[in-house]
Amino acid sequence: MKALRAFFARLGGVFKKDRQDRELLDEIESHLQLHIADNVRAGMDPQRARRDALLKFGAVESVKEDYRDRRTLPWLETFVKDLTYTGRTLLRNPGFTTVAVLTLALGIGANAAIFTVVDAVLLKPLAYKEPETLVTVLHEGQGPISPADFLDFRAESRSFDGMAAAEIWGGILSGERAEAVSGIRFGEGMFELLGVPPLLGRTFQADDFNGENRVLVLGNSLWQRRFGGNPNIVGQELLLSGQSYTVVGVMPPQFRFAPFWATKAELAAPLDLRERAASRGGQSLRIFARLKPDVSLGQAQAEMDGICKRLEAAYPDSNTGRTVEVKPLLEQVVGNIRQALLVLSGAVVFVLLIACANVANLLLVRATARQKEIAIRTALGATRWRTVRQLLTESLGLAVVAGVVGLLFGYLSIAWIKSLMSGEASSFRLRMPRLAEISLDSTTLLFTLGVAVLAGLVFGLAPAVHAVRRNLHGGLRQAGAGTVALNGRSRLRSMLVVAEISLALITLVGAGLMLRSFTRLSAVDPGFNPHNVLALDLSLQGQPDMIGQRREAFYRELRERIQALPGVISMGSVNHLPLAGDVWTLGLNIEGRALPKPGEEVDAAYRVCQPGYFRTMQIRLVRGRDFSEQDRADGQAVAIINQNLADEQWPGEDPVGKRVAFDEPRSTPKLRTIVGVVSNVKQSSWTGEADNEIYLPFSQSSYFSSDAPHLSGMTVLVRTEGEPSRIAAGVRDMVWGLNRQVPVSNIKTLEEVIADCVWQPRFNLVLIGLFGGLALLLGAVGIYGVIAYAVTQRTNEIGIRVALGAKKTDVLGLVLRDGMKLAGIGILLGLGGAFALTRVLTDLLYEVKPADPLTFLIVSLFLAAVALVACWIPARRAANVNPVIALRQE
Amino acid sequence: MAEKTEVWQGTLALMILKTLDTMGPLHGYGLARRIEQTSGQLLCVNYGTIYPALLKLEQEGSVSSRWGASENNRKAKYYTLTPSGRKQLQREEREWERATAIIARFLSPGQESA
Repeated sequence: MKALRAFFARLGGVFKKDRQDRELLDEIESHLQLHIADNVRAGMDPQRARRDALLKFGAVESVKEDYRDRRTLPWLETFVKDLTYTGRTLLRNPGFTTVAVLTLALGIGANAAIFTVVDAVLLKPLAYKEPETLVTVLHEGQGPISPADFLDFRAESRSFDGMAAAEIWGGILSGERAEAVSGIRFGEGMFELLGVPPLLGRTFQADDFNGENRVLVLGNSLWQRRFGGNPNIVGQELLLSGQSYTVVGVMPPQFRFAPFWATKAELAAPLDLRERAASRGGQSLRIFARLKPDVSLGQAQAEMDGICKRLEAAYPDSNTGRTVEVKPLLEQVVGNIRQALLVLSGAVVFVLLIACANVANLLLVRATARQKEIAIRTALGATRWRTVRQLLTESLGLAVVAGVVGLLFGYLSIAWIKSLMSGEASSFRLRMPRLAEISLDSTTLLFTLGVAVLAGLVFGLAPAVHAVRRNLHGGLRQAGAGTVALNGRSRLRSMLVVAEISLALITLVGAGLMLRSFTRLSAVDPGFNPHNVLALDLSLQGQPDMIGQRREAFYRELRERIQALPGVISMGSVNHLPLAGDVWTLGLNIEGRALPKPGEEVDAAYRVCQPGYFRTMQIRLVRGRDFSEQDRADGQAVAIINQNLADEQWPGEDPVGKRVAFDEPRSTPKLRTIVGVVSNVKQSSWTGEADNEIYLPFSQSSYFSSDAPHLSGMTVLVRTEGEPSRIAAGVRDMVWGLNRQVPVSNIKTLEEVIADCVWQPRFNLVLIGLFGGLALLLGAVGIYGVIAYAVTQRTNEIGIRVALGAKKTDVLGLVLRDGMKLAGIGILLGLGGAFALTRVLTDLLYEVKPADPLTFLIVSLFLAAVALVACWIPARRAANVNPVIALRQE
Repeated sequence: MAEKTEVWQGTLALMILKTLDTMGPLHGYGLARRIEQTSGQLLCVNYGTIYPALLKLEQEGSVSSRWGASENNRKAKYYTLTPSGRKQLQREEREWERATAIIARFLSPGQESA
């Protein structure tokens, strides 16, 4: 405490040196005068009195010295002096300073940007109470759980301090303009589990779950958007899908109802499980739980495995093969982006190291130029440590300036990355989890500062130590410097370049692998043609009279109007759009075959579509016929299956004409005749394998006959001649022209839908590509710098060679050989490094091996070519050396 | 005059604090004189060394200083003990007493062990 106080007093002393100096002189003077006066009073003559006073005072200068050392912080004063000197030297060499600062700033900025993303996505805790103990309990780590299973889990498990269920939900919010809102149903204890108190009002209480109280808790975004942040919202009634609900609470801004899967949920209603308590089918619940403090993930998993085994034995019909995985919530949220971010972090560190090596090279060149200055300092008595400190202060000063510029770069990059997320029409949208949380904050600032200082030490230390290691004698002798090419300093420079080249090669191999993988990924055939197709979701939910014939009439009318628009080729609609919508997998039984044993059921993805869907999507009809207007509700029940299902169930046979019973939701199974087979379509994931699909005509499906909310929406697809987004507004107005209460959402082109599916590989590719490019650029600048400098130093030697008859090509070869030797060693080392490191990319690559020889070869050749060009420029200069001028330089 | 002892590091601060405590505000010269007198001329202080010591105490907040006029109307800088300085003095006095008591026991072990 006292020491701290003294420290600040001394720190303050640094800035008021002059005044304190004067004060001390005054005080000493006053002391002497008092003493002299005393002495005179005691009878001394004035001269003796003065001498005695001075004698008793002791050495004035040494007192002043002690006083000064005590008054301020001497090391700080030296530092400030060094810093001022640094500022002057840096300003005196604007070219050097600019190049060094920009090089470093690129490296530091890239690190700051990636760190910001890593920090927000991977490191910051989720905005719940003690989020590190929250887990999800899901089928295979992601699949939903049935109500009865959940209730058994909750009753039997002992590993958790609470377990609760949530279910995806949603509705149409009435108002001036109807809006489809995503919601969630929260089971008893869910709010308590997450542990975030509401901003206004309350969350749910026990009697909310008996199904009689229709209550809602609003998310902050919805409250702000729809209700302008009205503080009196609690207690108000809202009309949601035609039902009245009372708002009981509003959550704070950072709260998310669900951090994964139902990420768009903006309101919550209570989940009433009483009716479904015994159901082991209809898996729709996501289970959240909090681990007890002394229970490990492994213990909880073991307990859940045991419970699942017991359930399997007790209910073999429904629970055969049903297991669950207990996963930390953060892992569930972040998923496989972790791997990618770690790889990117590695790549930016490489870029920074290359930048450091470049600046170290620049400093070494400068150290040569400053050899004399350093020798003089040493001769005047500066210790080695003092000189190293001066040089380190210079590099740290450089690093801090670069850090500030780098932070600016980082800020711009983050703004850019974030803009990629929100761009309406952008085909490069990011679906990064927790993206909204990404921002430059104090953590990033500290990190950037730390990186800058570390970088300053890394690139400054070697040159500084090197500079003072040379002896005085050599430094003061001026002439003859540089006649020998391979002295210690140029060896260090060569080593730095070799390191740069190998790091650049590793980064580039990573980028090359990503590029190969992405090309493969882009070449994937989704089974439909996404070019020039507009997709939009609409829903007739909350309009109970719009059902059956009326519902069909609405779509027929809509189709006629849209197809009359100029530039429209066709229109179709489907319940679940491939790659974007849900996939409901339902069981089917084939006529004439025995009922399958549990675990061996025939499952197929359930798709409902209207005539024109296959044509609009350009899904190929392999056999039979398409649906038509003649497939009416009261006509023969029909279905179309995909190639996969046909091959699986009727290998070598024609499935057309066969009959299957299919359990549709909210409908009794009936026998349907297969009338056609279509080609396979990617269902839920871009790289996934083809799976079984069965298509039903709209007019013979639950979507025709049921007003259940989840059976009331369709995705409309419009194929156009030109750019599909141009007709988006027209189509929307047309929908509202027919029925104002229909919400229209998710208007985008099919190409955007696909871009959303492959955003992550694209993100990886763009960033690694960017870093690879940076690494290449910096590496090329590095090798150019070293060779160019060597040429300047060897001008004499080259002049003599030319004078002795060396041809231009000889000189060219001489210089190129030197450069390419460095590049060659760097590439070889880099290949080794890449071979060892690219293994971490395995999970990020699609159909490309991490040790893909072609990529390794092409990248090596490419880097060698770039190095050749970088060496060519100084080599040509060397070849054009005029021996007369060169020799006169001596 | 008897043999004089050099003032060793650290005790000077204690002497300054104690002197200010008994004498009230003093200037540097007065302090130096007083310390010399109190020690019965046994202690030799180079008067100048008192200033760095005073600066340290001031930085630590144990004393405060202010320019004023001396008895015979000369300008002089007066040092005053602060409350925190008084506390420090009490603490150091106690420690000093304990330390000297222990040393004393070691130096005259005869009565104890007998």
